[in-house]
Amino acid sequence: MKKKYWDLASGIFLLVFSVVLFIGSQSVKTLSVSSVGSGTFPSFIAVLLAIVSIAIIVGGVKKARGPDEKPTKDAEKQRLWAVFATFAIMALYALLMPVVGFIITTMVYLFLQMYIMAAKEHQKPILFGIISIVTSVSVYYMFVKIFNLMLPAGILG
Amino acid sequence: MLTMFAAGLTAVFTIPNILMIILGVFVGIVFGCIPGLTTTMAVALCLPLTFGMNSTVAMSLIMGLYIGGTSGGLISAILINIPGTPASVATCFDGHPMAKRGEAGKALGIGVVYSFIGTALSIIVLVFLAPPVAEFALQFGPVEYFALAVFSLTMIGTLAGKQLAKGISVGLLGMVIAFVGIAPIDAYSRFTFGIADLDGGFDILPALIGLFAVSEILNVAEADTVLKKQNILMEFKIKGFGFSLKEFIGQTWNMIRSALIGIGIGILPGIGAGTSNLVAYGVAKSSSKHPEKFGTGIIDGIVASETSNNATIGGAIIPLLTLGIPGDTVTAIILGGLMVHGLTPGPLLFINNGTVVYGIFVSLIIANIVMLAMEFFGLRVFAKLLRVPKHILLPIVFVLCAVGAFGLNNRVFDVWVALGFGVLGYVLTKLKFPTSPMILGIILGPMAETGFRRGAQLYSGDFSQFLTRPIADIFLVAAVGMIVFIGLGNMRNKKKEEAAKA
Repeated sequence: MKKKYWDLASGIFLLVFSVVLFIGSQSVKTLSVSSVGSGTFPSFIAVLLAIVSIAIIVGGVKKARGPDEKPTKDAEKQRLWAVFATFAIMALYALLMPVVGFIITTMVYLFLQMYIMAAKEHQKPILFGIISIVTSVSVYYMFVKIFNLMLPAGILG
Repeated sequence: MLTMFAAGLTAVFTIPNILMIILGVFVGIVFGCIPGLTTTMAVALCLPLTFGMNSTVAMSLIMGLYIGGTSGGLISAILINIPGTPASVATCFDGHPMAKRGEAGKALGIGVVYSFIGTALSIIVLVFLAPPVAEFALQFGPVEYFALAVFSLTMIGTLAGKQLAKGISVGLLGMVIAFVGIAPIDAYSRFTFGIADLDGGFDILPALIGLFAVSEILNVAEADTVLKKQNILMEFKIKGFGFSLKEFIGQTWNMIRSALIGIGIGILPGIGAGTSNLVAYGVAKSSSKHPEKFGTGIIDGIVASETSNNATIGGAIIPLLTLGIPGDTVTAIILGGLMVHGLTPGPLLFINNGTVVYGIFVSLIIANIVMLAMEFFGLRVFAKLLRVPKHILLPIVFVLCAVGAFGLNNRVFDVWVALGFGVLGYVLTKLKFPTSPMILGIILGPMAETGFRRGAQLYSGDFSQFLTRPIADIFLVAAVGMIVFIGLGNMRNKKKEEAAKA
C-alpha cells in the first residue's frame, strides 16, 4: 500500500475498532446499584474514539488525494525482513524459554539477533558467540543468585 | 520536616544504599549517552533488580538511574551531534558546533555543571513543595481525583503536537487497554476474552517495557545504523570546568528561567525532559539580545537545554509522590515500581511511608553529586562506550526486557505482553502516531473512571456534585482552558501552513 493511504486506513481501522468496542461494552453487566456501571465508561470512550477516528479519516482522505510521499530509501525496504525475523525469534524465545530454560534460549536468541541486526561487514560469528555465552550465563546467575529472581531453569535445572 | 529529613538521611546513608546510587548513576549515564537507549529504558530494565530489595534501597538505585540518564544524553549530543535521549535534543544545537570548533571540553563542562545546577534547583523545589501539596491533596475526594485525571488527560494535546487527532486516539487506546480486567467498584471482569491471565488486566510495567524498549529494538533492526568511528570527537581537554566565572554570572537569569521552565513542565502530567529542553531553548533564543548567534555554538544554548532537562526531574516527582500522577514517562515506570514494593503514591504516602519519601529526596541529592563527579572524571570512558555497536547492545537489552517482564509475576505471559506492546509501538511509530499519549491513557483512564464511579455512588447519581466542588471546578476549568488553548494553537498552525503553501 502506498504511504499516502496509511492515515486513511488507520482511521478506518480505528472507527471499526470503536464500533466493536461500543457493542462489546453493551454486554458488560452493571452489578452495582448505580446508574453508572462497568460498561458506561467503555461506551463513552468508544464514542470519543469514533469521533476522533472520523477526524483522522477526513485528514487521511485529503492526504490520499495529494501526491504520494517521497519513496523511501531502498535500504529501508530491504530491511523489512529484519523486523519480521526479529519478531519471529523474539516470539520463539518467549515460547521456548519455559521449556528449554533461560540460559540456552538466551544464548541462541542473542546469537541469532546479533546476526540479523548486524550489517554484512560487521558479522563476526566468534565475537557474537562469546558475547552470547558470557551474557546469558552472567545474566542468569546475577539475577538468580544476587537479586533473588526466579528464571526458568529448564532442562538444565 | 527536619526530623523526617533526618530519618531519610539515616535510612539512605548506608554503604549498600550509596553503592546502589553510584551503580544507578553509572548505568543511567551509559543508557543516557548511547543513542537509542533512554532513561525510561534504563529504569524499566533495572526495576527487576530491585524486586528482592527493600524499598529504600530500590528507590536509591532508581533515582541514580533517573539523574544519570537525564544528564548522560549531553555527552553524545556534544560529541557526535546525536542526542543520547530526547532530553538532549537542544543540546546538539550549540554543543556540537562548539565541539567542532575545538571547544568540546568547554561544552561538556558547561553541560555537566548546568545539569547539576538544574537538578539541584529542582530538588529544592521538590522538597519544599511536595509536602504541602500532599497535605492539600488529603482533602481530595473521588470527584477531585476525577477532575484532576480529566485535566491531566488534556496534556495529551500538548504531547500530540501537530498530530492532534492521532495523539488523542492513542490516548483513548491507552484507556481502552486499561479497561481490560476487573472493573473498579463492582469487580466485573471486562474484555478478557476468557483469558485467565488477563483478569488482573495488563500490568503497566511489561506494557511500558514493550512500548519504549522492544519497539525501539524493532526500529533499529530495520534501520541498521552503524556509527562510524571518525564521527566521534575524542580529542578534548578540560581545564577546571571549562568556563570562567564571568561567563557563569552572565548566565544567571538564563539558568533560573530554564530551571523554572523545566520544573513547571515536569510538574505537568506526562510531559517531561523531552519537551522542556526544547521549550527552554526556544525561550532563551527568543528573549536573547543576540538570537542570531544561537546555533553557532554559544554557551546560552547549552545552559538552557541542560538546566531545564535536569530540572524536570524534581518537577516530575512532585505529582508522582503527592497525587500518584506521573510527571513524565520515567516517573510512569517509577509508579509501577513503587506499586511492586507495595507503596501507593499519593498524599497518604507522606504519612504512612514518610521515611521512603524523604529517602527519595536524600537519594536525589546524593545521586546529583555522584553524577557531577562521575561525568566530570569519567567522560572519556563514556565517550568510548559510544563505539559499542547497537547490534550487540540491543539484543542484550531485549533479554533484560524479557527478564524484567518475566520477573514481575514469574510468568511468561508478561513477556508476551511486552512483545505485543513492542509490536504495537512499532506499528504506531511507522504510521506516524505519537506513542507517549498511551501511557497517560493507561494510567489516568482508570483514575478517571474510579473517581467518576465512586463519586456517582457517593452522591447517588447526583451529578451536580461534580460541578459544585471548588477544587474539582478549578481542575475542570483548567481542563477546558487547556482544550481551548490547544484548539486555538492548532487552528493558528493550520492557517500558517496554508499561508505558507499559498
